[in-house]
Order: sequence, then structure tokens, then C-alpha cells
Amino acid sequence: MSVSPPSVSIERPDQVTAAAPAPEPAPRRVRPSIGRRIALFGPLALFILFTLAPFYWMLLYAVTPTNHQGLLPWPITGEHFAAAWNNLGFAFLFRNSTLVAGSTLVITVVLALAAGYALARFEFKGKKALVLALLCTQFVPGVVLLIPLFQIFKRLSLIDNLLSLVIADTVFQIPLAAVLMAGFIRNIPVNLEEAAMVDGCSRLRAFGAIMLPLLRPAIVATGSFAFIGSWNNFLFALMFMNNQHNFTIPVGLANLIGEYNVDYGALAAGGVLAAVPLVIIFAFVQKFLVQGLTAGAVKG
Amino acid sequence: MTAGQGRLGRVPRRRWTAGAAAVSAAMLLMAGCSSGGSAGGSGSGGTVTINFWDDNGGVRTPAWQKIIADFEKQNPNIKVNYVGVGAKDIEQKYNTAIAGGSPPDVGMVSSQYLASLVAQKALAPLDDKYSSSPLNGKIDNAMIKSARSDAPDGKLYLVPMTTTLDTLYYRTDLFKKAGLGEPKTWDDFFKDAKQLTNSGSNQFGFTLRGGPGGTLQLLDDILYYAAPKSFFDAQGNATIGSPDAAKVVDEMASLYRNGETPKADINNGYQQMVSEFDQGEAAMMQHNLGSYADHMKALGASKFAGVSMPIGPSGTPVQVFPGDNGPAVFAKSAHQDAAWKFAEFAGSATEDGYWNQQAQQIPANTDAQNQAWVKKNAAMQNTLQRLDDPKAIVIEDPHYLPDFGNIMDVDMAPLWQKVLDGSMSSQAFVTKWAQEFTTAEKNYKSHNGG
Repeated sequence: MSVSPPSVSIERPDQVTAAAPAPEPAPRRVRPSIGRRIALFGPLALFILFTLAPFYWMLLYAVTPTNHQGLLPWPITGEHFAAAWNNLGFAFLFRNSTLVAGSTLVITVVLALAAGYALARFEFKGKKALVLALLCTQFVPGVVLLIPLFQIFKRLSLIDNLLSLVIADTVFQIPLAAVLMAGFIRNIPVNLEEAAMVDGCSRLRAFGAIMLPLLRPAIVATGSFAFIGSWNNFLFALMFMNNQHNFTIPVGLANLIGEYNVDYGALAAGGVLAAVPLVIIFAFVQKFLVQGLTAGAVKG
Repeated sequence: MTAGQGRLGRVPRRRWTAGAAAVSAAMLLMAGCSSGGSAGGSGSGGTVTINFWDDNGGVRTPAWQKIIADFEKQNPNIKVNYVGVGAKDIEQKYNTAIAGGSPPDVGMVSSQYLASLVAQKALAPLDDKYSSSPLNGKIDNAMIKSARSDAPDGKLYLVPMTTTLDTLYYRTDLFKKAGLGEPKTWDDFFKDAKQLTNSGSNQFGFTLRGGPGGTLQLLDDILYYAAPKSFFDAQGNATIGSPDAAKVVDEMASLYRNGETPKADINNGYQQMVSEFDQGEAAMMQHNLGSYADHMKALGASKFAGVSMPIGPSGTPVQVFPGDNGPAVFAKSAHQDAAWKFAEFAGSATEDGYWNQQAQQIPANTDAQNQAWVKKNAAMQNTLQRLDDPKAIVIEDPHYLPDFGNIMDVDMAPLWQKVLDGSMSSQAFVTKWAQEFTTAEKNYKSHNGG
């Protein structure tokens, strides 16, 4: 004989509200005056204009024929995209940039998680000095380390090898990523991990099961920085690669600027093609990025 | 709960191992994705691969690809790995590769940084190879002389392949309409600029380069106007501080201050200047033969002409020689003979002519200078005549000075803008300019002898 459990009904707050007497009508929305609207939207419109105008300019050059005059993108042509893709070897450039930036992202995030966790959760001798040293690396421009890096990669036979770019880019991305990640991790109460460990989790398991999901915005934020930094890196790709087929997008685009001639159409089309992956990535991760940056900025 | 704990303990280790393996695999993939090592090498069957760096990659790449294809056809045992590098970045790439011990076998080198490469002992002297080459006697004398004088030790380190000379472009249609002839002297130039200005209808007599590269053009203007016999006198003092030098600087600045050039010209670089001329805003423009093709494309042959720079009050024609550009063999190359063979091939009449036809520059090979396309280019003919004129003074800017770029771009460019806006006198400007060059020359000589 089965006994059906007693039915327990817990009303959700919205249901409670629905059952309550009708609320008083909401106060009428007062439309802001024209002056207030101008004060509110004027600066925003100006900001958007300044931000988007260069992109519009780039798009205009990319889709209109050479020597086109006027601000409207008409007539439209695909010749510049064809020139960028075929003459410039954009397929190679794109593949190389994706491989380098993607690998840099993965390695940077993995190492930054480990380093950031150690900085946030453990006390050890010289911790402050280490954080300071990590931050100080941000003051060192890449060009200063160019020749030492070149010589190291040469000894490792990594000149003209994309792996050298992944290593160099990762080296430059890790310090900031680790410090940022430490800030994010510090904001997550240690009690959560301790509770998991009391329930039998190892530290690694607690990190994987409890911390990682909470760190998703942080991973997106640091990963985005690493990807963009690597995607846009021009200097290392120019210096460490000695084969046309190993160049990345920034080097390919720079080659369109000749001593006396600049192919603005192909340059703009290449710029559009280079921006597409970044725009797509940002469209998907913007929610996490804002969360991550806010958390890091306010509580870090 | 116990079972759960056991599961919890096993799974993450696998995940982390999988993650680490994925990262390692990605790195290994990267390592395998590209060819290792930059130096050229010997392949199977005695084939040698040489690395060739082009110093103006991009627009010039197709021309080089054709030359390389021709070369490889004639020399099936030599493969050329072409690397195109942007004009602005090549010097840094050379310097990094030299410091890192991995320069190319052969690369296009320009007079502007030849001295710096020679000082680093990065280039192989080519005098012996050149003297026994079929090219000997076929390269323009002025260019060979310039290539030697640009090296601190006077040796030949590059095979001159091309140069370009200063040109005054003017709108023949606007000149004809105003009843004016070709501007042959500086007096003509300044008068024509005034007459052709109608700022109300956005028409200016001249477009002036006040921004990037502006001081280089101004320096040449001083030499064309003042016509000194050499850049430095016997005591090593720069000759560009004379009253004549101050006068031409003042006249050029007056063009700007009197509204005979557009107001924005104070920041003009090359592109803005070309755009103003090609769109009909300016009636005259000073550049070199490198922009001839752009004007031809934008205006057509009937609306513009390119002539040698005007002659100054002394009546002596001057041709400022900007230096050479050509392939140089690197001292560390393990395949010097193959590298030389390629340099020699690129300097031959057929290939040099073809390359310069694409670039619309002056070929160094004298046989190539007689090709039909050179004869058709009126601006090139005009400047070549000046170069060959026995009465003309041929003078070269001191590109060999390590401080040349700093003096021009860092020290003097902001002061040139001060002269343009009237906050510095022309005489003070040229005096300082001359002092800087004099000091740089003395430093250079104390380090390199002479």
C-alpha cells in the first residue's frame, strides 16, 4: 500500500503577490524634457559617432571601388576582399593568427588559473614581491626583449615556427592574467571550497566543481585579453617569422603599406576580415566579459 | 555518499589530464605547423635554398615573384625563399636578425641604412665579384659611386638596381589656362604658386609637406636653391646654414603663411599631398618619380607633367641624389655564391628593367635605361637628363650618418612646423640644422676615420 506523501505547496513570492489585493496603479511616467534628453543622449550619440566613424570609414573603403568619393557605400564591390584574400594570402594569415591566438588563449588561461589560485589562496614568502614583479613586467615593452627572445628561439630552432609566437605572446599575457585571476579568485569566499572539502572533495576537485563555474566570467575576461593581445601582436610575428606562409594578419596588413603606394581598399578589406572573428567572439562573451571586468574592477 | 565521494575523486583527475594533454597537443601541433629554421640550406640533389628579403614587400611582391621564377628556371639548383617586409619595418628586421645571428642570404638594402649594416659587419663586400661580372660597366656610374660612398670603408656592398629622383609635378591644364609655362627656376615657381592660388575656390598654387617626410624635401629644396658644391665643406661644416638656405626656407614658409598652400599642409604627409594634387586642389607638388604612376592613374598624361627641380639664383642646375637600392649579400650566408648569382641576375638589364617598369623608378642598368618604357616616361627622361648634365652639381644627402634620421625626424621636423607657423625664424632654423649635421659628421668621422 503506497502512501502518497502529503502535498506541500510553497508559494513563490510572485504567486503570493498575485493573490494579494491589486496594487495601486503605477505612477504615470513623466517623459523627460527635450533638454534633459539632449543632455542624456547627446554625449552618448557623440561617443557612438567617434567610436563607430573609423569603422564605417574602413567598411566604406572595403566595399566601394578605388577612387570612390562620397560617404554612401554605393556602388558596392567585392574586389578588395578578393584582392586581400587572394593576393595577400589571407587564408594563410588567418589560419596562422587563429592558431597562435587560440593557443595563447588556452595556455594563458590554464596557467593564469593556477598562478592566480596560488596568489589568492596561499601565503608564502615573497608573495608581495612576486605580485609586484608580475605587475612590473607590464612596463617592459616587447621590443626590449626582442633580441634575447630571438636568440633563445634560435637556440631552440623555433625561429620561423609559430610555436615561438605562442610562447612569446603567452609570456607577455600571463603576468596580467594571473594578477587579474587572483583578484577574481579572492572574491569567491574560501568557505565554499572548504565546505566542498569537508564533504570529501580534494582541493583539485573543489576547484573544478565549485570554483571553475564561478570563475567563468573571469576566464572569459582574461581569455579575451590574451586572445586580442596575441591576435594584434605585430612585432613578434614580423621578427620571428622568415617565411611568407608563417606571417600573421597584422604583418600581412602592414605589407600593404608600401613606400610610395598604399592599397587602401585591400587594407580596409583586410581590416574588416581581421575584425570579424573578434566581433563574433565579443558578441558571444560580452555578458561574461562585463561581469568579469566589473567583479575584477570593483572588488579586486 | 561514499560512492559519490569515490566518483568525485576520480573524474577530475581524468579531466585535468585530458586538459593538459589537449594543451600539449595544441603546442605540438603548432610546432609541426610551420617549417623550422630560417637559414637557407642545401636540399636533396644538391639544391640550395637561399632566403631573400624584399625591403618593400606587398605592392612589389608580384614583380619579385616573376624575377624569382625566371631565376629558378635558369638555375634549377637554386631555390629562392621570398620574404616581403614592409618598407618601414625592414631596418628593424635586419637589425634583429643580425643581432640574433640569423640574417638572410641576400636582401634588398637601401642607402639610408647601408652604413649601419656595414658597421655591424653584416654585409659581404662585392668589389671582386662585381669586377669580374658581366654587370661591370653596365651599372650607372653615379649609382655605383653613390653605393661606394655610402659605405664607411668605400667598398661596394650592394648591386645598385634602382633609384628615384626629385621631381616637380605641375598641372599642365591649370598652367595653360593661366598662360604660364614650365616652372624652370625658383623665381618661376614662387610666382606661379602665387598666381595659381584662388583660396576662395579652394585652389592653391602648391601643396607643401609640413608633416612626415617634410624635412627631407625641404633639405633638398635648400640644395637645389643654394647650389653648394658639396653637403660639407673641407672643414666638415654643413653648407646648409647659408643666407641662401634661409631665404628658400623663408619663401617656402611664406607660401604657407600667405595661403598659397592649404592650411592643413602643416601636417601633410605623402598621402595627403598626393591626394591634394591629384584631386585638383593644388597646382604643383614636389616628390619623386615614385608617385608618377599615381598621378597618371588619377589625372592622365594630358593634365600633368613632371620636371626636374627648379634652378636657383646662381643658375647652376643641381641634382640631389637620394642613394641607391639593390640586393646585398649577407656575410653570414652559407651560400654566398648562390646569393651573388641571384643579386647579379636581378641587376641584369632584363630583370632590372622589368622591376623598374613595375615600380616606375630609374633602372641602374644602363641598357635598361634605354628601354622603350623609359623613353616614354617624360618625367624620368627629364630627371635623367639633369643627372647626366655635365654642368649639374650632383649632391647626396648624408644618409650614411647614423644620426641622419634623428636629425630629420626628431629634431628638425617640429622646428620646421614652428617656422611654418611663424614662431621661429628661417635663419635660426637653418643655422641649427647645419650645426646638427656638422656635429653628426664630426662624430661619424671620429668613429670611422677620415
